[in-house]
Formats: sequence, structure tokens, C-alpha cells
Amino acid sequence: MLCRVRLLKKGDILVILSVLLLEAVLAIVFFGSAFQGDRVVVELNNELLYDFSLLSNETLEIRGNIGKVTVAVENGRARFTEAECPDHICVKTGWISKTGQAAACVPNGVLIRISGSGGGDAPDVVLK
Amino acid sequence: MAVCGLLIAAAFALSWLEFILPISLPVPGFKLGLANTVTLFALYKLGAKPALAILIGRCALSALLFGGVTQLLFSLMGGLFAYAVMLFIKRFRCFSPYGVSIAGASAHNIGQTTAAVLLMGTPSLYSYLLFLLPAGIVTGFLTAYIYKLCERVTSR
Repeated sequence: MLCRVRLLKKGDILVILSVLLLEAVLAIVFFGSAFQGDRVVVELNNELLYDFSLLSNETLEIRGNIGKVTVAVENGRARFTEAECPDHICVKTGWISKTGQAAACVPNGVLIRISGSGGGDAPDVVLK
Repeated sequence: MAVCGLLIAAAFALSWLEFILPISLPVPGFKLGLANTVTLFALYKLGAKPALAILIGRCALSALLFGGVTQLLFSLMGGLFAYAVMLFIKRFRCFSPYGVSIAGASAHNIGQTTAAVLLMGTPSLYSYLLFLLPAGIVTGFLTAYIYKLCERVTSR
């Protein structure tokens, strides 16, 4: 198929390594400080809509910019379950539960974000 | 000029093809980026300005038919940033089309994610790059490979 042994040049390897390095940095940033979250924050066009405990069981229907989105919160995690948007990237993201994680339906302007105390204390927080 | 028009049509057709064929991983926001083979081709065979024109033409056409203003904005932010990076990298001899393409794919992902971060007001969305960047390396490589095949065919 490819008749050449040396397919990639030095610069190409550099590019790949740089991207992998960036990936490693991001992984450390996001996984290194991620614990089970306490609360889920829902914003519409950068304005706060909801902020409640991640341990609740709720289904939220939100009127976004171009359609309706449905957010489910249950047992410590949250996700978009339905959305009226072209690509459904939000729904495909699936469940999020760690502090710092977020999912967004950009065309509708809806963002869900996990927040929590996280940090050096015990990762699992029991809410009253 | 006519070649440009043809290539815009080709790039648009590839975008349309990707749109109707559900070839995607369960990774949110994953795209094969087939239309970028045309961008690469234009960049190497026609030059910087035609390549830019074709890119903008393709984004505009796609947004007109498939998406809205938001789509166009995201397409352009990712596309123009990728274009700038590719143009810059291409100058140095130590990079082959593979490097240029992978750099372009990565820049595209970073550009689009940044657009989302700015729009939604939270850097947490950068976490999407965790699966987009590795995918970009693969698709960038694939795009360059397809370009190389075309190059071989058209230089006869």
C-alpha cells in the first residue's frame, strides 16, 4: 500500500508529540482534580437557571434558543437526554459527574456544569 | 478560477456526504473532515489565496444549506484557525502534508472548542478536547493520506 518506509518527516513527529503533550496536560488538569461532584449548575445563555444537589432525581425541560432540551439528574450524575438541535453533541456527551466536567448544547445556549468542594478532602460527600 | 469553483463544489459535496452518512464514533463532535482533503489539495497545488477562498466558500455553502449562523461561526472559527496554522507550518520543509494536516485538524478542534468555551462562558468545555485531539491526529493523518492519493492520480 505505502511504498515508502519513511512516511513521516521529523516535523510531523513533532506535531504529533505536541498534540499528545497537550492531551496529557489536559488529562492531568481534568482528571487530576476531579472528584464526584456535589451540585449541578444549569445555565442558559450564561445566566444561571438552576443550581441544586447532584443527588436529586430530576428531569428538567428547558426552552433554549432554537428548541427544547431535556436534562436528567439522578444519583450523582447528570446529562442531556434529549435536545432539539442539529448535531446532538450534547446528548452524545453522556453522563457527567465529576467536578469540573461540563456538557453544552451550544445552539440552544444551555450548559450543565458539575461543581463541588472536591479538593483534598474525602472525595465522597454525603448531603443531608 | 474555474478550478476554484469546482473545488468548492467538491469540498461541499464531501461535507454533504459526511452529513448524510452516519460514520462517526460515539465521540461527541467527531467528524471525518473529508472536505479538508480539498483544502490540503488547494493549499499545495493552487496556493494560499485560492485555498482560503475555497475554505470560506465551502463553509458558507454548508452553513447556508445545513446549519444556521451558529454553525457558520463555528465552522469559520475552526476552519480559519486551522488554515492559519496549516499555512504557517507548510512553510517549513521538515513538515510533510501529514504534519500539516494533523496540525490543521488539531487547530480546528482547538478553535471550535474555544468558540464554545467563549460562548458558554466556562473553560470546563475544554474537556471535549480530551477525545477530540487524539481523534484529530487520526483524521488528520487520514486526510493527508487521501490527499496524497489524489496527488498521485492528478500528476500523471
